[in-house]
Amino acid sequence: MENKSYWKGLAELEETPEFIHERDKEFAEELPIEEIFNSNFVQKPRARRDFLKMLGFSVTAATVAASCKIPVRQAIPYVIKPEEIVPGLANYYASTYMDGSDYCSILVKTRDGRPIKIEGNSNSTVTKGGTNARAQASILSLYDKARTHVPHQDGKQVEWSTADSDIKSQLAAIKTKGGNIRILSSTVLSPSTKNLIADFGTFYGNTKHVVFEPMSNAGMLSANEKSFGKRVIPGYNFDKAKVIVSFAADFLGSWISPIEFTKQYVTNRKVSKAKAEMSRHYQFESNVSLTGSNADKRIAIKPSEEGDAIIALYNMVAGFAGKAGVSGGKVSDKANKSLNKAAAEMWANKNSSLVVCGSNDTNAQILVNAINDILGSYGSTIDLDNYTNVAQGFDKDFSDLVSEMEAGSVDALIIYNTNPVYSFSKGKKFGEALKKVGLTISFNDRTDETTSLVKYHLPDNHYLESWNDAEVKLGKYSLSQPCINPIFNTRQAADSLLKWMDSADDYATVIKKNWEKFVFPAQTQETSFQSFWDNCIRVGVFEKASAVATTTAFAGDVNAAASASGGKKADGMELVIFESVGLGNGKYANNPWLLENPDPITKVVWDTVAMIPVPYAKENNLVEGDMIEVSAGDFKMELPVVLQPGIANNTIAVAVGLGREKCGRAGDGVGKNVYPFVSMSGDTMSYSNSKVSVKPTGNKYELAITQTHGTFEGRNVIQQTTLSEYKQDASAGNESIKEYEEVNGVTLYPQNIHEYNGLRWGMNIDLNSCIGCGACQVACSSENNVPVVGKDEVRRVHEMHWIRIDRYYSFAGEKERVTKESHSNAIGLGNQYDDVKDWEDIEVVHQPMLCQHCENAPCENVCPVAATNHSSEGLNQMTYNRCIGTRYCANNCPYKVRRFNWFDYTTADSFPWNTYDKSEGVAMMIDDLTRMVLNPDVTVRSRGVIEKCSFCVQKLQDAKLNAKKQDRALVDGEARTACQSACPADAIVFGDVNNKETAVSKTREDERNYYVLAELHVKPSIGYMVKVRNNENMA
Amino acid sequence: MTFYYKPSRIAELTRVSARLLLLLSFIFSFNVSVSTAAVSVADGQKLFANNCRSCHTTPDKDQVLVGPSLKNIDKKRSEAWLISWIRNNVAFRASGDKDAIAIFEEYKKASMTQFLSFTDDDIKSIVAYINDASNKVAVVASAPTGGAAGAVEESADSYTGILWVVVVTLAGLSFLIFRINNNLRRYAGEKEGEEIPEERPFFKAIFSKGNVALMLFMCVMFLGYWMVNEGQSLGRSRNYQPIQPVKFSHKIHAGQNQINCLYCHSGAEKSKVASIPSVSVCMNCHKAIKEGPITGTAEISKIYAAYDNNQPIKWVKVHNLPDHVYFNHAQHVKAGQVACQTCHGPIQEMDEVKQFASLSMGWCVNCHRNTATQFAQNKYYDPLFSKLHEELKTGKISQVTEGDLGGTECQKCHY
Repeated sequence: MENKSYWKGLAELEETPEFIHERDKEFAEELPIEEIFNSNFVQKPRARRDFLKMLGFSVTAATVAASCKIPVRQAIPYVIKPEEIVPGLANYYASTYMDGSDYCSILVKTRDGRPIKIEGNSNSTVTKGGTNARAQASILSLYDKARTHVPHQDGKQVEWSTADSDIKSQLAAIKTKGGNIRILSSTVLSPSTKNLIADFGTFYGNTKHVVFEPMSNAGMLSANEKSFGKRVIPGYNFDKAKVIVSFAADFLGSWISPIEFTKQYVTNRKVSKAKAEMSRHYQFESNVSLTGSNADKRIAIKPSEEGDAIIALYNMVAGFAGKAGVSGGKVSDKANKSLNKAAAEMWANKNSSLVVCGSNDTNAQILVNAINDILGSYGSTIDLDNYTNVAQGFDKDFSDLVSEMEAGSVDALIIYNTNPVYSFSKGKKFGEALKKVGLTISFNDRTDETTSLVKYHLPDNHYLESWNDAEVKLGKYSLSQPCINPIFNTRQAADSLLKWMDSADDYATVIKKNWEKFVFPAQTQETSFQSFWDNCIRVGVFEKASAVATTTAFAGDVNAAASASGGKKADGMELVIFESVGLGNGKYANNPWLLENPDPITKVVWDTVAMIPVPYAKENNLVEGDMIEVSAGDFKMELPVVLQPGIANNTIAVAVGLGREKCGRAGDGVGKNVYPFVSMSGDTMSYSNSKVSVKPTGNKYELAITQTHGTFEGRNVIQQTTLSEYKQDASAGNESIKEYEEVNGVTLYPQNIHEYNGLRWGMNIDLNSCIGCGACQVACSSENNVPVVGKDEVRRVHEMHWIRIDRYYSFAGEKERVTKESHSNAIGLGNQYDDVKDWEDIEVVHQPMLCQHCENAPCENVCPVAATNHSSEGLNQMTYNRCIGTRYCANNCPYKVRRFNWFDYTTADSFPWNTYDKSEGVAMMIDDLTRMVLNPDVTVRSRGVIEKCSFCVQKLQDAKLNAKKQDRALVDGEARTACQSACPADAIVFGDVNNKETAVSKTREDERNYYVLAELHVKPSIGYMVKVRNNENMA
Repeated sequence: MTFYYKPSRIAELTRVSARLLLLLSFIFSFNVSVSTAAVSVADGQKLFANNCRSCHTTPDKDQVLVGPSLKNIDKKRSEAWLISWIRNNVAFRASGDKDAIAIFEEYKKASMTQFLSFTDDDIKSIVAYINDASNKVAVVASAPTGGAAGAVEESADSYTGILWVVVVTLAGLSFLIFRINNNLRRYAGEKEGEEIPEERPFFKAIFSKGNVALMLFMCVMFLGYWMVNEGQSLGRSRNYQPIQPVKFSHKIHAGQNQINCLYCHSGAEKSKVASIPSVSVCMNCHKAIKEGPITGTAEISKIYAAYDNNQPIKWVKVHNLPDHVYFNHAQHVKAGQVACQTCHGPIQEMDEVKQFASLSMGWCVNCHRNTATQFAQNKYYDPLFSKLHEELKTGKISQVTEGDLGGTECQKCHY
């Protein structure tokens, strides 16, 4: 049994006096009661008279308000009701979320003509019904008022026809003189758009399509071209890999195709008695990535060590294969040991191991290809034939384009869904170069940093307003269909191109024709194209059988690659730039749901922070929120720090995705733009820098971090074991449950035992599957109208999320739990950890925490008005209209999951001046247009009431009603919560526990099942599965 | 932005007595019509209302709607002819039946819907109903069925009017008798030569200290009672009867013409909202019916205007619930088999719709406590509530109410 201490942050670990002071309180802020009672007003001698005056006034005011007429409400039916729409019933349309390299096959839930929720589409074999935070949040961007409403020319409104004729004549002139036209876009997944761009090139001549991705994988494209003659990003099969070695590739969070990889990865992470096997996962990285936090073994290496580590691994693997090694590969002892283990394990699991690397360095990628080639990964875990179409950004093309523009040789530049002035390291330079281009057109959806500099701004539709198709992997097609008419006077970019090519077809027709020509012949089931097409729209995807894997000989030059990528180890401070898991590359910086979705590791919201190693912080006396100045070359920036356990010593990590200047009310000026730290190294962009200097500036900054809000006061809520222990004893790590069962079998209040005659809802969360990505949090906000509160309110511990993901650290070396007593004797810098304290070597556990719907709920019996009580289906029900806001329940909740509406965040009150709009992010949520996203089946809570997870009761009621309407029993899995549907890792199981046949009932029989704080005898409805790590003998 | 109330006590009284009579006649009609196993007038009536009524008037009238009146059709055509025609008139015409072709020609080649799913018994039931109804002289406007049949529940409030009249009359009478008695006693006393104290003037007697105190006390009590009651009903709008943009009469459509509620409010069985019909639904019938019995073409032309200009009709919502209440029509109409009239009142008698129920939480919960659910009928409950199933079987309980199934818990309606 592992019995070690888990901590959410350094303050908790070290039990700083502030932490001890704060932890006993549910609400961080004291109410200013004393202040009011001691104030002049109350102490004034005539207080009694004033009181009577106020009483009189308020009674009169209430009377006047009450005698107002009830407003007349109208019910306006359709003139001609479309057949498929029944008002009040949701329709689901299959579609595709794609934005650059982001891809997810989805179902769009629409109610009465407006899309309100995104669900995963399980028909897709790529994303398999999974979603991520961005796909979930993309629905909010549909109702973003910051999107440009009308076409513009030179910043002035213009008619579409005028713009079209102007542009057409200018393009014609360019064609006549043989000028250069460039189309600059993010990755285009749509084969029809790609065709269209090619046709456009033929039509006007001298046209080149340049793809720019701010977080580029161009190094991989080049490496694969040099290694195999194919400039592609291959398909990966993490489900077939028994041993995974990742060099800083955050494949669960941001690398290539995270939803797809998560689905694959977790298949080998779920353990049961029937299948007590797990994959082994080594992660060599500098910062703590989401993937690293899930690895069995995380080895912190500095960015400059990465090349050598890969060389070392190559040499070891080559040694097993009897091949000659390459020179170089000197790494630290610690890394060397783990590399040795990894190499031996991979060699033992030849053909079922996988090495991935997140570096954008071509040479490093060539070496990784070479390792995979020796290990026989190609054809098993890597598939060059069924390649993916995401991440097509080619850095050299882009830098060439910038030079061309600067030289003045580009006559027309069409920008489509990319924003280099913000996301290119030399954004300003790009902005200057734009001025030298005769005709500049942008299709971007808002007047962003780049678009504000172009001549014509012709805003594109939102993807939910558009027809489109996608081919995310070879032969894996999917369709997008419009779920709402364009809200603003926008036009799809492809339609604009078609207009300028004098095409009679609109884009929808073009797609249909393309499918008839290219996709339809690939199948035999359907004989008529129309029925094939209809079916594809209904299902959302069409997938050809995968191409048969062929063997391609590795032809890369490992020696050259090794000498170019190795021997770079530096001693000073280093900087690594990475992509934020939630916000991505910055496109969605105006999305309040994403801004308030905590970073999976730092748990920071609404900000850009520098993650710094703890030893460095201690040397320099830095604490959370202190500012440091990071300078690299001629660029410097002041950033607040977060002390990050696990990060490599002398390394700083900063995420991109914020610091937008022109994205809208919510995101403008939030965080810092760190793209300028990216540098060009050869033909590819480099996201690390080994020549940075860091100095504390002495300034302070108040961060909004959710993690330390609400503690368990040292109680053990995480149960963890190792695979070998699990194999010996399935209840390993879960010994305490028997002890509690015994104690909890006794009650003094037999009359309070609930009887559940019908359904009894229960949930189970598998800590082995949960990767901590945060998709569930956004899905929950979307389904349940959870308000966004803004940075200031989060600082005051007023965040509203119904589900949070607690992230716990522990020292990997620690085996025995440090008792509370010895702990508190040593307040200070965690002295008691000296023997095990290796700040680089930490383990992370993610634990989703939501209302546990306790049977003996402590919240229920303290409510003076019975606003929260127990249902016969086991739900702890919260009734907003009864709640008077005493907050006793929140104080009494041991799980800290109850949330209080301090203000009217979503304009639920009829008095507009009650609305909280101090923060700009909130201002977006109270906008009438943005409120269209609200779920009409869920009450919008007003100020002064408590709210919390309801197990998505509206969805449960809906599932029950559907069964009743169809005169049949409820089927297991029919009632799903929003968090469960959104989860790309299938970590959440939900259902009726009264029925012994349901999936959730079976989890309760499992030895791994435990209840958080079972010792309190509150009898939660949510079970957790003990975390099993396959981490023995990984050095 | 105004309330339009039309309170009329006398009208209500007459309506109440009329309704009582109606109820009696309804009970009577039930007793009379003994249904045979396969062919029944009641089945026929239901089938007629659901399938034929949108194009044919009720069989007691001669009016031509989209199709002809069916009064005494059983006398005009043979049963076999009717079966062939109703089931598949297209095939029947194709077979060359002269009468069939003649009817088709007469009605400008407007093809009648085919009812391929009707059994012979179904059609015979319809014919039996037509026969039955054609011979009835009086029009008994019984409630058209929504999801299920159900008698109109009388609210206790309707009787309070009568009660008050009785109370006031009795009080007047007793006062009169008291005065007479008193005077008689005085005269009797005078005759017998008793010393009679001078009678205090009536005015003074009324405003004696004790009386004034009592009256004040009663005033305060009454005002308090009134305030609490009115305060409770703030935001409730029972009897709310707004003026609608089109003078649509449920009495004509649902009452006299017996159109099934679900024909127009098609969402009631499927969705949260019963849904107000789109103009296109109106046009199904009003393509042919261009004139109404009361307003002539004035109101119907509004439909045409809406349809032609593609402008929806902006109806005024009568039944409004606060945001924190979740109500689902399908749950009640389909799963619960509750008749529309249970909540909406005798809608088939309303020319203008008014809010019948208070829609207060107490009103909801009472029904949830007292009404039997479809517990034994709906297969949803089969695997659940084994205890209740057992008790029902052994006769320990006679019915299962929504309250027994957790239907009075907060989060059944508030989430």
